[in-house]
Amino acid sequence: MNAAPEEITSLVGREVYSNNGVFVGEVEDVRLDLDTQSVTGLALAELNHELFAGRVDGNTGVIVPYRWVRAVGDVVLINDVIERLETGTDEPEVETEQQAT
Amino acid sequence: MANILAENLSGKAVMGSDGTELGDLYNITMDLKSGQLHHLLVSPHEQLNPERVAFDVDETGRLRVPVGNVRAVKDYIVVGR
Repeated sequence: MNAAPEEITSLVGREVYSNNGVFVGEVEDVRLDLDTQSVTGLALAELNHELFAGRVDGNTGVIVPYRWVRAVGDVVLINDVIERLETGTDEPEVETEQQAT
Repeated sequence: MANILAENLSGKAVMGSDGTELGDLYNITMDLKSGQLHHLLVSPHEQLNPERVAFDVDETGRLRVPVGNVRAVKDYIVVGR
């Protein structure tokens, strides 16, 4: 079942929470792969510093893979693995990104 | 064409593979659930006659170019016609 297509910029500015209701950040940009014609990630800013403590410093954003997205409504819900980044033995796929400005 | 942030595409000039300047990129549509991209929405160039291009035009007069038509992205977004 496919919902009506939305403009990608409608994601920008939405708040992102984990499935457990933990605030993660705010969508700042959307990463695309034009070869596979898909959205591959969400670039987040205004991060929850407690969640990313010791991993991401002040002016850095993160990109979460789009396959972690569970629901998009008034807010965006993502897989709660985002809360367990520091304990995972396999390198998490969250990438840090310098803020554009 | 590797990964690219949408912000870097915003407002970029869109050119047909035959060299026609089509207009500027306004937005891209997607399926929020699957993450699949659908169309580029292109604000047509003033001199462009939308009837002479093969793309659909939406209710606000923007061209709807299937994302699969994108051939290259650098200074221009080049789309097959």
